[in-house]
Amino acid sequence: MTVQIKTWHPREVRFVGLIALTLLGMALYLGDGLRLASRDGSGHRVIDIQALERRIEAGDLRDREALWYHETRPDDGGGRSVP
Amino acid sequence: MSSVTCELCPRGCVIPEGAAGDCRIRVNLGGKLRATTYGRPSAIHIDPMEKKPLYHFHPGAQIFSLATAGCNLHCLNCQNWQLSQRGGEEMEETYRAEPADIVAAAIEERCKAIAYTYSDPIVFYEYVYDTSVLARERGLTNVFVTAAYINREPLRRLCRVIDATNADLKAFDDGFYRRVNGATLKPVLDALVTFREEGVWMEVTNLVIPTLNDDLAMIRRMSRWIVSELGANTPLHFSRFQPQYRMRNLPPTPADTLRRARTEALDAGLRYVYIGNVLGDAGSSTYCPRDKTLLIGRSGFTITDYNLTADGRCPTCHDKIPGVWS
Repeated sequence: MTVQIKTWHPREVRFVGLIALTLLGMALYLGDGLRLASRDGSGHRVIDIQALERRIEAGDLRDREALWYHETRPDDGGGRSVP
Repeated sequence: MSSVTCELCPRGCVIPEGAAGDCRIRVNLGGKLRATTYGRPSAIHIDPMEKKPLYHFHPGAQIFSLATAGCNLHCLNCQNWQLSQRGGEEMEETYRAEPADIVAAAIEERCKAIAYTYSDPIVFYEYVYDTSVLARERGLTNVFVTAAYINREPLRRLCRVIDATNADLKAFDDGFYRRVNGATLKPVLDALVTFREEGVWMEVTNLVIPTLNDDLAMIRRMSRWIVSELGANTPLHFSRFQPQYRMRNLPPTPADTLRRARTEALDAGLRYVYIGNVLGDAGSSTYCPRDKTLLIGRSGFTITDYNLTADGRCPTCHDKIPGVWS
């Protein structure tokens, strides 16, 4: 094994580097997922806003202002998208 | 682009312009949060009160029931997922029914009450509130059928115009709420206590799902919590699970499981414990806790016997039975 390490070629170094980068990427992805999963809220959904506005214009839906909200403050959280 | 933060439920969704909250129907348009289904229900039916289920609130009455699209929970076993897990713009049909229209229709159909139900009415809060105010003025009562995942302040304000609730307590386990419902337990417990503090007549439903929340030790802990925090007179309904939506891999709850849960809850000190969704089971009837007199017999949603006195007492021992009977 020691002999093999001493005789590493650049392509093998690149390969090990690629593996290490892949593992780092996976760790960051999973870590971010765990962080988001541990939070209770701060979600939003991307919707078909054109469809919504068409339905509002047609009178099928409303644009009545809701109660119980405020303009987002810096300490309100990230506003992640939920699937 | 100004985002808004919704304060209605514990999610506290931060919603950028042009997006919706997690519930799909509270949408940021032009930097203001919009209640897009206000006055636009997608489901309207007339149900028996027993279907909510409410067993101690105007038994046998017809109740005008409505819902809009959207929900702030995402239960894997949702029975109304076509309604609850869609946004308003995804619904094929919406009815144009302003609060005054709903109240007029309920009166015309000779209903004594209006139920906000099917999906979770928390998400169409403004519509519930305005309709409830008008309903009260016309002598109707308001019933809020909910999973109770709502912040305290909005709930306290709503309680001023709500007469009764059936609130889900889906499990006495935070992990269950996270895995199965996409929610958390503590805000639900806080909401149930708030309903009690505000004097809203409350019955609690626990849907028993095989292998997920049918552990008798957990049911005992839940029942003891209800006794200590909500009171021993709080009716508790153990309801039978049916496989549907994203939980088709589990069988329907065996009737014996529900009977064991009922026995456990009665042993924990609750006085009125019911079995739901099992046709003809004796556990769906109301008995006097003192002398076991049959007070209200039920089969499904039908009342088969009614032996309460006019002022809501047991005809044998004359004990007052808690509820809203007149």
